[in-house]
Amino acid sequence: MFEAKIEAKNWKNIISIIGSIIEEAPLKFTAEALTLRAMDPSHISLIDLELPKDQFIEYSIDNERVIGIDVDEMARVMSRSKPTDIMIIKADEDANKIFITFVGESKRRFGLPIIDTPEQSQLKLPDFPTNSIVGIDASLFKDGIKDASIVADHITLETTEEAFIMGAEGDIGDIETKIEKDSLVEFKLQETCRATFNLSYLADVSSSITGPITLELGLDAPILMNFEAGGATIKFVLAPRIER
Amino acid sequence: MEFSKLCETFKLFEKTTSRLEKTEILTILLKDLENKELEITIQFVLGSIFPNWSAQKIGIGEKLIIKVVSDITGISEKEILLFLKETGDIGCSIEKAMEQKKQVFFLSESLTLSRVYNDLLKLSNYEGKRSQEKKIRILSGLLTNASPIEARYLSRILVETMRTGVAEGIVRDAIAKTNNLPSSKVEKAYMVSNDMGLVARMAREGEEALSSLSLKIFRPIKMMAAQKVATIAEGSKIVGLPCAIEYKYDGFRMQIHKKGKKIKIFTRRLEDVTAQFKDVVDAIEKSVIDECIIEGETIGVSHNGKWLPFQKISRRIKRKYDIDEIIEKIPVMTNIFDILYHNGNSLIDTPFKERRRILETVITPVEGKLVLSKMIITDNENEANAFFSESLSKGNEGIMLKNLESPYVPGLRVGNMLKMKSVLESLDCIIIGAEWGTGRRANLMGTFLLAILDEDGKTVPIGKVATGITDELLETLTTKLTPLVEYEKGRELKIKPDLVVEVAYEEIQKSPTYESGFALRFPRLIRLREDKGPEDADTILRVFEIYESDDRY
Repeated sequence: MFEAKIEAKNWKNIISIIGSIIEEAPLKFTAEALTLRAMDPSHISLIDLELPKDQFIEYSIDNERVIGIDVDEMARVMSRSKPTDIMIIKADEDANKIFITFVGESKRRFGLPIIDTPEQSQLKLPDFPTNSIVGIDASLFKDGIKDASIVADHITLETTEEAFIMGAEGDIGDIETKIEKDSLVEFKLQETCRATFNLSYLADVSSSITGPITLELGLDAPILMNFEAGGATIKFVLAPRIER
Repeated sequence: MEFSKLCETFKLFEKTTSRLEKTEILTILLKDLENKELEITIQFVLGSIFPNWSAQKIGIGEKLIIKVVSDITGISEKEILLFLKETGDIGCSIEKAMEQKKQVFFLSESLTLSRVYNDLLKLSNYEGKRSQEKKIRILSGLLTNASPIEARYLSRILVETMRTGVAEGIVRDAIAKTNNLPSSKVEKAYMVSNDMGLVARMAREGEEALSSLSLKIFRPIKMMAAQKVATIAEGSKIVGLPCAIEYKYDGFRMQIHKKGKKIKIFTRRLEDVTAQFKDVVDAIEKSVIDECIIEGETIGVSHNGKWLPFQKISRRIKRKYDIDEIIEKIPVMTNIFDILYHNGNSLIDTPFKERRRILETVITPVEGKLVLSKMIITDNENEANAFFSESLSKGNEGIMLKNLESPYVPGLRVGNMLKMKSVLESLDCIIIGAEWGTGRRANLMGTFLLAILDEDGKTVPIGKVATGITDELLETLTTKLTPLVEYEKGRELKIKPDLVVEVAYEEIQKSPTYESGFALRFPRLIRLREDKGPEDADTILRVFEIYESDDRY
């Protein structure tokens, strides 16, 4: 038996972020939290999510379990929620269904099939050295990404002694966003660094983030983005592109 | 089996041009495969993911592969397109992109043959709104895990063009060799089942199991093809006299399968067009009671009863919606001329005259909707010529000549069935390239690259022609083309599109070799068309129409 109550807008936000990376999500519900760790089909990125029990309005579970959902289908259901709705998530494993009930002026219940998706908890977060930590407001980060997308399909993130730089170079031109360290939420530098990433992955994942993001960067190393969304703590790791 | 092992075999195929060696290489591979792997391997080697009779498609084009590979490697689509221009092959281009990949992956698993196949199966099942995104995810997953060489062959499998020089003949011989069976038995089993994977599996169980393969209702087989002849005299030498002569209707060929109330209609390319031809289905219901596979030619008929040329009705094949409306607008009539299967018995080994006799008992004509093809049996050349004229006067393309004793030979252009048309077919093409000749003709241009016009009036290559040209014409061409040379690279010349020539051919084929997507079978340069400018050359649309209409016999 598993049943939980949560604000619909929080769940919608979480689903939107997961949906930007994977299509099928093995959601793991434990006594303490909902967790998810999964890699995208191209093995370029990895998401690690934890939504603690206290972020739910109610949370009751007998045994730990993994419930596989089709994230796109779930996102479509969530698009029907209203911002003030409270929702109830209930898993009926006998019927192989997960039920979503929006409680507002009316009660609207959606049933979605539970799908078979291998749990990926054995996945380890990649281990890599980080030389710079940059705390940045989501809107500034998103602006830098949108700017870069005008000229290229990749983006280079760079730290200097004084600033965090987002740059891109493409056929039609180049672009640079420079954010001085005083405008950043956090700026810790062991060493300056620089790495290039696939732009669409960063754009997709950051589009639903509203608060601050902490970036951990290294020289030609993966980027680790730490942020919160819908009450969940999320780590997103993206492998770099390396020029040869 | 690891997918890489199959790729090693593909690589070996590419290293040799010897048929025997290729057969030997394949024989070795086939020996130790599990049954399921065997079927998949056979299909992949043949460059088709699903058996011929199957309507299943994965619907992946080069464009999508390039997009996905650009995304996962960080090599831009533009660069990959350049590779494609250099190599002319999607496989080598993708391999090159993978070799130069900039993107780091966290994890890579080795691909197995069954993983590849199952993912392809998923691709074919996706349809609807978000199918494109789903397909992209599957492709990303596959290609991320592929080594450059695996990516080469994976891409070719995806576009179903292997370029290894291994076709049905070699596969047939390898199956025969692996199982110590005569090639002819394997060939026969393939003809009737149209499923080489199945044939390979049955061959393992021995000759008896193999011979048990037979025509199966609703599993279409390749249609018997006709050779072209120019005159009755030429034709009668091939089919013998007396022979059967029928109208060659200007419509499209159908293979109709019927069992009980279920009816299915397939095109020459074995596509299921039952839904598009509900009116033919209705006519069959009225005309035929027996369980059978029959073949016929469906033509358009105007409301005053006149027969329409193929171009008018070709739209009906492609029509997917508002079918009732177009049925009303362009009514058709089907002319049945052969029967392959009747009440549980295969008739493909039965002589034509006997098949025709059975056919006449099976079909009850429905006037104006479904009739037997008009046929005479004669040994008289004058009578034959008169019949040819009569056929042309009715608006038909010509006549078919058939050997009375011949079996139905699926898929092959053997001399049992001939077509004779009123005119030799030709296209007006623009010369856009040439090669210097060799030996005696070293100072003359020898091979010419031909182009037609695309929708935007741009020239697109359709083939090369090197035959049918007299020394005198070669000299004229060389003189006229010399001022048009844009640059030389080795023996090859790039030529400014200006000169138009008339080129005759046997047939127009689909081909990935040339940018137009078509190629000419047996092209012969007939003459210069100085009265025509490059803007008067034939267009890709015209070629497509000829292809559609020519692909029927």
